[in-house]
Amino acid sequence: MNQLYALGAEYGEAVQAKLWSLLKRQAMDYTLGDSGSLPQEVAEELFRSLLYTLQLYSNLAGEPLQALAQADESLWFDRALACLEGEIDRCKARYVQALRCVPELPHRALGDTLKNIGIGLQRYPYRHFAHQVPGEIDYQLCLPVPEERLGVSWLLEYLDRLITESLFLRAFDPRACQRLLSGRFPDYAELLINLYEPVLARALGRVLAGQPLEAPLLLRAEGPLPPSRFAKPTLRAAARELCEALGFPEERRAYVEQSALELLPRFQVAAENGTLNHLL
Amino acid sequence: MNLPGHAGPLSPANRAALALCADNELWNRYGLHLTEQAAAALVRREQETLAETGRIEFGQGALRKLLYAFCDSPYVDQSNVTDTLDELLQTFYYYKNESDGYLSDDELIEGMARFFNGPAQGSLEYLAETSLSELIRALRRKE
Repeated sequence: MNQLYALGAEYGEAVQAKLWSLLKRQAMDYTLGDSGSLPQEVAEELFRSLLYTLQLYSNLAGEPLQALAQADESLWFDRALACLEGEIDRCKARYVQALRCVPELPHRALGDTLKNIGIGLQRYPYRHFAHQVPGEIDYQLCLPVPEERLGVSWLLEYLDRLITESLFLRAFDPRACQRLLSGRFPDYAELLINLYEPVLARALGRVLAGQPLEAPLLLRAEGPLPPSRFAKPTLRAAARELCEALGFPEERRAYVEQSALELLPRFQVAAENGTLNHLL
Repeated sequence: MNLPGHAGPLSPANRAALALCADNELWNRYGLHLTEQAAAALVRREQETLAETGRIEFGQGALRKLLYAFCDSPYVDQSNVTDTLDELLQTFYYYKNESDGYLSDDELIEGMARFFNGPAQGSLEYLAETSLSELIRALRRKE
């Protein structure tokens, strides 16, 4: 028995039958009626796209997918597509916002990624492959978007996180950021590195070392440091202090705190050596 | 292979077999007749071929279209119709994978019939060994 036929079984037989009826519609739409059959891998992709579109609508409209069993599946899917188009519009607006706050730092991967997202959003094949992320993403975030998110939902979250990182970087003098990055990674502009994390680490280091944060001039944090200072609550408090000092938007502070906590092992090693100099 | 929610006595497979037999009046004009058993066996064979070639069928299948296209061939008669259709099914789905959506079902079947009745002179082996580009050329020659 082909494994494809088991897809959607978890929603019960009635919903699964509706899903397959929609998949047939999608398959015919995809081939423009020219072909009655499709390679299994293409059929699977169409199914993933269909399920993603329906689940997106289900989540946003508050209608459980099980309700499909009693509904006209074509109407449901048309509403889901309209909902997806709304999300694409939201994503385009967020993309423009991301472009507006891009950090003034040369970086090939970031530049290429932003360009690719623009092209990807224009060419996003959401009717058949909505679960695919529009555009090729080279630039890695400090905190990656969970892989469970798909398609335009993934991209919305990626852009939101990217905006947070960009706003943080823009709180500092770009020349100071460039010096810091070049010091750690010669030719950093060509490398697939995250720009935000080294700057965050340096700024947090200064807060933890009890030194004034002299934004926009970013200086190296100096040790020695008492190991007792490095625990999750301390780092979280330091991140809050840092955000406060920078006047960072309230709604974006959680991301800074979370990424600060990811630095904990590095700060602990630094504390054991009595200085932050070699790590930040 | 039945789609979920469509199993049972009137599954697509059974319906396809019945539909083939329903057209016997047409096949009879060309001296062909399909028994229910032969039709059911061909439908099963199509499902096996789909599985072997890694394809999923969403439409009515290719059998009926193949029979329509080949029933008037001078190389198909009652003695070889089921074996011929069996071979044609395999060739059809092989070419479907090869053509990667470039040819529609109707175009491909037309090209196969044109080649089978022309250069292949009824040889299924010759047809099966023909390259896709030759088939496409055969289609273009018609235009």
